[in-house]
Amino acid sequence: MKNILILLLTLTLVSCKDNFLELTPDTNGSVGNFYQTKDQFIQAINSAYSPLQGIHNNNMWLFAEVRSDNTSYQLNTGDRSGTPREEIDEFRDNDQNVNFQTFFNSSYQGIGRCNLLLTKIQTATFEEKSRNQIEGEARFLRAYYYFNLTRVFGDVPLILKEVTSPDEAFTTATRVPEVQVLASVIDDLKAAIVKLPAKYTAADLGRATSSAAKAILGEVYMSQKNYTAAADILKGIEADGGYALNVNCADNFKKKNTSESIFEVQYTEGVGNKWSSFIYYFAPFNSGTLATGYALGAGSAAGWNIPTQDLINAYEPTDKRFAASINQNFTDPTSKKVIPFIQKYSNPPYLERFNTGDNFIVSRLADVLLMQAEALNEASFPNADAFALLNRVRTRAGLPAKTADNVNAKLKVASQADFRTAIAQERRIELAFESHRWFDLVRTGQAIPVMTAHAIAEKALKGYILPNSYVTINLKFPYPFREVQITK
Amino acid sequence: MLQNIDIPASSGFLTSFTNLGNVRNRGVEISLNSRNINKGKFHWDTDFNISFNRNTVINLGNRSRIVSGENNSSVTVVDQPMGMFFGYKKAGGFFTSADDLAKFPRNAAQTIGSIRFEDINKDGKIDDNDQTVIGNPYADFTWGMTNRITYGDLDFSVLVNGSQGGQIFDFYKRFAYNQDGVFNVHSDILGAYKDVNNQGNGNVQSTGSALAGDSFSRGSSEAWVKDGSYMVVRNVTLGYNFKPKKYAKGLRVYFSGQNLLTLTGYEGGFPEVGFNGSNSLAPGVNFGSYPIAAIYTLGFNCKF
Repeated sequence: MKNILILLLTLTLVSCKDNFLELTPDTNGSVGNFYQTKDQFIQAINSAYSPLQGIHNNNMWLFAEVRSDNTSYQLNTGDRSGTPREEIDEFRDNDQNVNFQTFFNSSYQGIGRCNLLLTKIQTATFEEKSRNQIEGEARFLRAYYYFNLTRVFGDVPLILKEVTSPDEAFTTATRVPEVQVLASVIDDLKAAIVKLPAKYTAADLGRATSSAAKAILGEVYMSQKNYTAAADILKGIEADGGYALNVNCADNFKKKNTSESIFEVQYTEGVGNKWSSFIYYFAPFNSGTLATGYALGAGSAAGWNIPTQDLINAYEPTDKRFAASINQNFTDPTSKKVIPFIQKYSNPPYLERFNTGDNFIVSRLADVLLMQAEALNEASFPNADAFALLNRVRTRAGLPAKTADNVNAKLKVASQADFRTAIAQERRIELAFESHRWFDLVRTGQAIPVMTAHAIAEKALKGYILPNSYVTINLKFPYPFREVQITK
Repeated sequence: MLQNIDIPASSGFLTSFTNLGNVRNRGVEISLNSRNINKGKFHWDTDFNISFNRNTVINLGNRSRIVSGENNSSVTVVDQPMGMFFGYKKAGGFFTSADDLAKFPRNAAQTIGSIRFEDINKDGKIDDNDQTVIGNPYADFTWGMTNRITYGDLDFSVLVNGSQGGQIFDFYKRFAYNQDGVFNVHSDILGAYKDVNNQGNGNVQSTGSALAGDSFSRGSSEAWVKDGSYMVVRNVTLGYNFKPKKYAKGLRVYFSGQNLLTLTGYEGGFPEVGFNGSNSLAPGVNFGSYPIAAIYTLGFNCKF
């Protein structure tokens, strides 16, 4: 009897700990009981990639291409529901534009998942190689989300730890200077470079590699005009990752994860909600089944990212990339005018409507080579390596090399400034519709002159254009309305 | 208050359940039951009740306000009731010319034919900071009255109830005033701004500015706040009780009608069911709802 009393007393004392009421459900996954096994961490890192799919399917091309002088839209007077996209094109900046909020939400959803994973992986016990890889992927992704956020909004909240309470959600929502966010981006990318492999075998193809981290880090340095660091980090990518330019530039968009591809957002056709549908946005809304093989969405669901005449004129006559990039086979039945549309990414037949498996390329070797050439030119002119890099991209496109003393004025690059122009031109054509143009214009300081000229052309072309269009060429987009509202 | 509040999306989440702040509810409820006449076969009873409730937010913890509801329809601030309507105050009239655009504070998205809003913080432009409390969903009082009259075997009763002084936020107009060309629109659009000499009903931006995509003028506006007072005849019943000598112990025949008559100045549907569900931080917001049915019943009730 005495023993039983002692036992009861002991049980009572021992069982009443502080966490007595903090139970986690046994029947489903929760933060409390997940994050144990390697398999669970793989699921967690996969979920950190997934917001990229929405961002690149719906938002990025608006901010980087439609905003720039590369593309515009096909006016749909019968359906005005696409006006938020038109606002972006015409610099009618409005913080209630839904695209800013969805991009913001997706980005921070991805960042939140990375932060949680990075906290939990510190105490994980599975083998080190996998732990390093997953940690590296999370740091890459967090950096990439933040890099895009700074390119779009400038100053944004910098959150590097799991947010654990509503109060913390408010205290961490303060915007910090862009330069501070970029310092964290650089830090994450450097860590990712150390932890990630340069290449994957088939099953893991598409995950972030150290090369992808280097390519993004190179672009961050370029945006900070730190050309020495950029050239340093970019030069090893090709050899370390075993990359090679595709013989045909068009193969980048016909096939997935080619030898040229450094990082692409992965989509899968069919069931599972992991498909893309951006090509449906890019076809003229009255072009029927021409672009995809299926009927387009009604009204304003199509007719976006339409190449401008200015871009079409920028192609040199024998450029193989023209036919691979732009389709001119559609004539509007009413206006009898040709409405060009994007040919890149158009790979019918597709299994079903609004469901494509086309990936969106974030970084590929041609982009890296051109950045490298640009960085080398900032160090010295004429730089033989820089010319060689530029001309590799040109040769593949079936174009003659540009040189410093060419007899043909069009191929002559006589000065450092001329070389900058040549690179800008080559990037515009090579990477057209790949969500680079606007950010390139901003980082090279060309956004205001180029867009001012573009505005004059657009106003002449669009009789209906509103007086509040192109009033100010803002280099950043407005910070989302909801976030301004609720943090006050 | 335990509330599901909106939190900054930078946390990776959009909402969170939070126990926050204090609210004071004070009120008076009066109930009167009267037997007006009780004479022989004739009885007339009246029940009447009325309630006054005042709800005031005492504090919000470390928050200065909570913005809530679909599309930020509502706001909760200290010293005011929970979930007041949130939006722009009208400054009167439209932007009618380029001169107006230069002269009056405006949002970059606004153009000729857009509604002018008040520059609450006097910074020379219209933006989020100019949104303020524009209406109060809470009634001054609600009441109900039942009258029952019986004369011998005949009985008659009427139930009437009502609400006085509450406002309704016609938030559905954000969609019903959408002139994108793909939605059915409210007939108010016929009264849209046309030009300086024909400004319509004063509440609808020009259809031309819809081509402009001036969705800003569809932002929450004071013009959508309406008086939601009403009185409704909930139930009328007329019955007769037979006392059969054979076969049955009792037989009652009655006719009853529900929701027979609504007296209200509100035009956006039935003023009570138009409310936005259970969200206590966004009451009185009408997103458009199904009308309530009037029901007529003819009944026989037989006891054996």
